[in-house]
Amino acid sequence: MSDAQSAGSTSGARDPTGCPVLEAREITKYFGSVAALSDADFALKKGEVHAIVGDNGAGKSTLLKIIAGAYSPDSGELLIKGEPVVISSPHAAQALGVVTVFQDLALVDDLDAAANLFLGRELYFPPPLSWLGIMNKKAMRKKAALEMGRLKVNLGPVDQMVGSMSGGQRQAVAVARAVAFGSDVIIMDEPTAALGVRETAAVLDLVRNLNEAGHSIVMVSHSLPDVFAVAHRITILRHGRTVGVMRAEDTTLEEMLKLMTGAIEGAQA
Amino acid sequence: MSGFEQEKKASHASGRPVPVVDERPPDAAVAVGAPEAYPRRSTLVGRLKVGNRDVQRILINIAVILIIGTFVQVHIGYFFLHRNLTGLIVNIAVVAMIACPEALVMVSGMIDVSVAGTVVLSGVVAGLLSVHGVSLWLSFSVAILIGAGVGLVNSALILGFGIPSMIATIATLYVTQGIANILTNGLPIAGTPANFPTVGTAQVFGGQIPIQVLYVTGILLLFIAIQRYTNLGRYAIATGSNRRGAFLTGVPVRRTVTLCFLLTGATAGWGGVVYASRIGNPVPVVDQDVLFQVIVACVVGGTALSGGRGLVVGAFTGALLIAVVNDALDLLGIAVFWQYIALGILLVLAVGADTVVRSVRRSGSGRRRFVMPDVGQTS
Repeated sequence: MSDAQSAGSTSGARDPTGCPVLEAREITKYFGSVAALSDADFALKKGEVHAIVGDNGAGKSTLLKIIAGAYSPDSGELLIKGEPVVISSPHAAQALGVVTVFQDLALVDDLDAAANLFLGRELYFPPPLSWLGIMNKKAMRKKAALEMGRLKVNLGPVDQMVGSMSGGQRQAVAVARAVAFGSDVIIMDEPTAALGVRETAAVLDLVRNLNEAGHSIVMVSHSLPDVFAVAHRITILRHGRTVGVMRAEDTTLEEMLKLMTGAIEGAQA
Repeated sequence: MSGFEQEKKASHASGRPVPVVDERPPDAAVAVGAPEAYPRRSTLVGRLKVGNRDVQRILINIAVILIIGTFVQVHIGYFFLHRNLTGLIVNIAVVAMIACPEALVMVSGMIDVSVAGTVVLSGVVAGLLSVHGVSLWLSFSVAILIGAGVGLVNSALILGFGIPSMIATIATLYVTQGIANILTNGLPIAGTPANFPTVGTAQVFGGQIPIQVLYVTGILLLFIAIQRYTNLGRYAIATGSNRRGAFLTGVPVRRTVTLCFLLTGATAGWGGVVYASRIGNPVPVVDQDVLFQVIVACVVGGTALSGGRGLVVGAFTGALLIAVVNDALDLLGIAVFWQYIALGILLVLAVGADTVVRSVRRSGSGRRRFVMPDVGQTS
């Protein structure tokens, strides 16, 4: 990574201002009689990488699924750029500029990277060919290559089958698909889970690149070192409540662990 | 600032948090950060080597066909003859035509075993209508529509009631056969118009080429084009490979499945017309060969039963291979009973060889899995 880029990721976007691009207020979600979330708050500022951390069962994937549109909350409010919204499905979220890269990535192993990138949004030849569903594969390969170049990821040729790719490369394809169609907010669910050291580093670089390209990023992760490596702010959940929102540079791994386990009470940043 | 923080800052300053050792061969490195240099296509050799299993299977099928043909040619001096080759295609025509859309169905992770029933029903309907004075073209069109209708019923059972495709299509296989028998009282249809057999038996190009060769070619090209150039082909792969993921991504999974079954039903309806026309007097009896050979052709052609993989042209080579094996056994004077055994062995060989090759390749490529990729390497 160049010096300019690392400077950008450490200081440039580290102190964003203005109203949150995405906000969840007092979100409560029950599964049966179990409260997965009770009055959880979350706010994503423009241009930041914001991590959501918590122990198992703290409610972080529930919160993620609610802002992604996969679950609907029992109570509470979602706001995008200050406007209250109802996000009824992942597609509705996409229409609002919020796109989620789920942990299983939803990739099709038997299609190549370009086909996955454009899956469900294929480019067609002009009518009448488009009426027959005839795709412009060349244009899709060209655009896919451009997009991969823009993200600075190296997958090899874009006509390579996704099934033959490694975990990090697959993550990159899923992310490229998420951002290729102009989403402001990218939600990443455990992007480094089950990846090796080098691939994890590559995915973290990808997060930084995306952030520098102007995307605001929500990242749910188990891995505190990964969180500290890229996040500007961190929201800590415990037992379905937001127990702290910290600036990454003002806190430590130890403090974070204490907040997650309830050894100390939190603060708002 | 904590020690951890300082560490983090240090890693940022040094460029990346983890030291990188580039393990790739130099030629694998691509100019990153130069979008215009980003490779859009693998090289031809690369594409073949990276194991397009489907293409390999097709090449193997063609090779086996040529080997068998040469063997028979050498042994009895008769195989690569116009008459034999066209006769061979006429024998497999109905199976080969239906195998094309069936490959699409199987790629989408489904299976349609009802096609033999559709062939019988649509053939009988075409026969009955023409006996009752309906024009030939209209009765054939109705027969094709009935086939499409069976396809729609299949997809409705699968999507609407969540019945596995195998079970749903076995049910429609029985029901269509039953209806065909009720319509005809179980008897062959007598008194079809004199021009009824024309559709299935005419010769074109100065009597040189059986018209069925044209049908097979047309259907084959149509479905190759559908699979290769339309969104349906791509959606079928996505549906068969990762149905939930495809759905989440916005692939119209239900429409894809419905269209695949519709096309298979319609083609089977047309196959029924050709079949009935060739016999002259449509019989309400399911043809065992059609029943199984369509599936066998797809599988021998490299279509995965688990979905996601397979080519229309592969299924066609599978059908051709079946025809060549049967023809060769005929020409060599081997009793017809042995053809069934040969077909069984062929199926086992095709699927068995595939499994062996895949497991060997998997253990052989274990090395590849541990080579770290260079996603996001920016320096």
